[in-house]
Amino acid sequence: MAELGYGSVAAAFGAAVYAAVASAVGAWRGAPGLVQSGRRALWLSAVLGTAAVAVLEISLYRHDFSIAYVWKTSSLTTPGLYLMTALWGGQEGSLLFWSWLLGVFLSIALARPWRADVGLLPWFAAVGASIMSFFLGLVVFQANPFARLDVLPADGNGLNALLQHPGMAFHPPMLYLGFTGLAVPYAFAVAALITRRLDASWLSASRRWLLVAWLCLTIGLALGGRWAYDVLGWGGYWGWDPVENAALMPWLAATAFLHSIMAEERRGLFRTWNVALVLLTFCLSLIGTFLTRAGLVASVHAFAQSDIGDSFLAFTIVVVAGSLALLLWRLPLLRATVRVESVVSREAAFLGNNLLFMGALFAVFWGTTFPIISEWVTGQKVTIGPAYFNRLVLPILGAAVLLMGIGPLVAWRRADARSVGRLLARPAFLSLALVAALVAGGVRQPTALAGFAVSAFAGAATLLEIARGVRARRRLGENVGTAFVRLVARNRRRYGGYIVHLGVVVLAVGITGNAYKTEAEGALREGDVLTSGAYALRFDGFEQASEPDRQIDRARFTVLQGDRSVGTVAPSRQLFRNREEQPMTIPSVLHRPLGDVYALLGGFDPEAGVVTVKVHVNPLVGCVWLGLLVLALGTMLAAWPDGREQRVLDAELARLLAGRSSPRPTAA
Amino acid sequence: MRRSGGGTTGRPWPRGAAGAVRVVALATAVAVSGAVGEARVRAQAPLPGSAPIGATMGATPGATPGATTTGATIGAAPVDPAAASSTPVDEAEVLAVARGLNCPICQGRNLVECPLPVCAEMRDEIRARLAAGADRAAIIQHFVDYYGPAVRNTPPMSGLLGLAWWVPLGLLVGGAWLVARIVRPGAGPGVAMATGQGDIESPYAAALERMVADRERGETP
Repeated sequence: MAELGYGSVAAAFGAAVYAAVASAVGAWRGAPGLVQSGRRALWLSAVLGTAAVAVLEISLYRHDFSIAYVWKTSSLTTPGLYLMTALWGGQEGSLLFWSWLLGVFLSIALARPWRADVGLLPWFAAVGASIMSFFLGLVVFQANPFARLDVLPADGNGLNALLQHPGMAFHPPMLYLGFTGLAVPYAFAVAALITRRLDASWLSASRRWLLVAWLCLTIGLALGGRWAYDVLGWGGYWGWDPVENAALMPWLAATAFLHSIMAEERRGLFRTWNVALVLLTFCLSLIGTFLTRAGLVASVHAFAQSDIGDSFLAFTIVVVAGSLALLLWRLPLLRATVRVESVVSREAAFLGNNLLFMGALFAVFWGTTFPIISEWVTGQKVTIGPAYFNRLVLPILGAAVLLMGIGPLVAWRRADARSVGRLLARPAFLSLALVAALVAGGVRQPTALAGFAVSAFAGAATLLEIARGVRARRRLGENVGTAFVRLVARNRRRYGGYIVHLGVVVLAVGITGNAYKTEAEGALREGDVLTSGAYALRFDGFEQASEPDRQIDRARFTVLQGDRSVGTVAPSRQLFRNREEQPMTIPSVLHRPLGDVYALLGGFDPEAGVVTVKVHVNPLVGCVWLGLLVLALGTMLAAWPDGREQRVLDAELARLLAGRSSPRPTAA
Repeated sequence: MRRSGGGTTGRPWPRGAAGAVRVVALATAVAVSGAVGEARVRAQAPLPGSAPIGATMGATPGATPGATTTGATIGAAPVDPAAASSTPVDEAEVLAVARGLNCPICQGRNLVECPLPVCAEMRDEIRARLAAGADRAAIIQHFVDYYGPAVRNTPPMSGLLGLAWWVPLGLLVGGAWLVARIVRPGAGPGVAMATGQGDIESPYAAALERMVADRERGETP
């Protein structure tokens, strides 16, 4: 079985290498036969990759512990779902999974009709297949998930218990989907640079893929945060850990691209910049993976140490240097022929957006790598904690939220400042009124007030903008519901985008709520009460349970608000079989409308009758999850293919490029 | 009765200030330098209607949860009541200082999060030094001298390590300057036309743009 799996990966590697070479040579020489064979080889490689993944999954379900990877990541008592997710529970499997996803994505991208893009796609295939070859090569030569053990163990080691959570089951694959999805626009961009076809075709292909990848990254980050919140027990969902930052950086770059690309579609602006952003986004996903996988930066993520660091470093350097060289080489073709005419214009707003996202991106990058640089240059070990990122990055992103309220109201080219002012007057007034109300209600922290003010402003501006659209349609005689649905359905990109913006507003409110977190800790006997913020916990007693794979110690608490009981929490300590030395403390959360009561066990001693508990009160944390959900739904709406709209935009862009650009991008 | 629930706070502002936002992007530099200047913790205003923040340990008379095998003293440094009453120390300030320092043993946890006894001792030391009248900077410096610079989890604004702050801020300002140049009429890179009249669109492109704009306003094309 293992041999079959390894054989499949090896064959997939061979096919990918052939696909890369054949596509490149075929495109170079103009040999359609060779190009076609390269395309088929890529499909073959994807099929073989699928076979390898299937073999590994079957081995996991059959508990074939002769395979080291199966032994390492699963055991006889591992529940079914986590047998499936064990595929990405370790490094070797993750790399196989990565390669396989990449193969599937490239195959789908290559399945599109070739008529229009016949010059672009061979190079696209060559670039994609090269990336795929690298990852499959890692699997074949350095991280074989099918390696056998010399002895046959009776039971497996089991998946790290911390990872047995639905959020963790789907957090890694969503991130992998995002990272691999980013490789597709990258390959399109490189192909466009090589062939000089820097026109509408690569742009629309890239945008769609990038949007999907961005969505996957968003969901992946959200699930990771939820997992950390539910399992890790420090009461938060984002800790600015290097591994989190590594996933955030491509997300920030992709966000910038998704905005500035509109200026290119509509006005033919920022063309160099947009290509650079696509290249940067993929490079960042590689750099991030390298930083974390090579163990260069200390991280809470367990996979940090590994031996693929050198290969990854070499590949990352090749990709970054190659992208940069290609971009510089084609720079003359990318000169914009129009320019931003006014500070009060949509174009300028997008520039501002990009400035802020790039600023946030660089701050995250700098903070993540600074300890390495500092140790390297000065020999001084330093640590950079969450406070640094919160102080530096959050104000920048807050400014982006503010701009989010203004940008969509500003017309292209040259807007009338007074009419923009009129549109913004009401949101500004509402936001100030809210601040006044909050101050009157006792909220005094400047950062919290600023956060709520900005969120209210952007939220009101966006809602009013949607309302204007609905009103316009109502004049056609539609009722409010129909008007709204048709409005959104007929302009999915625009209104999907607004829904995403509303999600961001809700998210920002949730993050602002952090300013009023409280925590308390104490040792309690039965009947004792521990107060934190507006809530108190009363210890009700111990509870012990045994399950096939673990022993559970629970402490039950009643949550009191004033004298009233509002619910219960039961934080637990869980001892997994075979991992008794590593007890896990699992928090228990009571969700209230305005915040969570989050309890975690410190000590558990039924004989002495004492339990130590830590309780966090996290105001508005529910907004974080709700905001992310709205954001994801809005993205799906915006990403849903809309042929009509796309055709109009493509025609317009082609027109702009043909009519205005002096060095017309033609094939060599 | 031993006081065992010492560890409550509102959050010191930066971490929680998540999303809470300094409004103007280009004022970020000012905001950040201000942030560090604020070496004092902000007093936490309770949310409307909330009880005063402050852990009050279960006041069941007679219940004296003593030390347990697991060390029930995690966040609960035993404070000498006499000393505490003579020079009252703001617990929030203790926690704010503690939050800025890392546990010297386990990587990446601050003194508040970390359950190890050494961190409890370090918190006690912070409390003692605050009671003796030391300010935050001096206390941090004391720990840096003792454990090395890695003990603080936020780099200082000055010196070589200050580059951690100034490089990203400098780039942001530089980027703003670049954007201003691009937007300035009649200048900026990639400008092909000399004057503001530059790019008259073809009638067709103008018609398309109008059409898209109309559609986006939700009117029938």
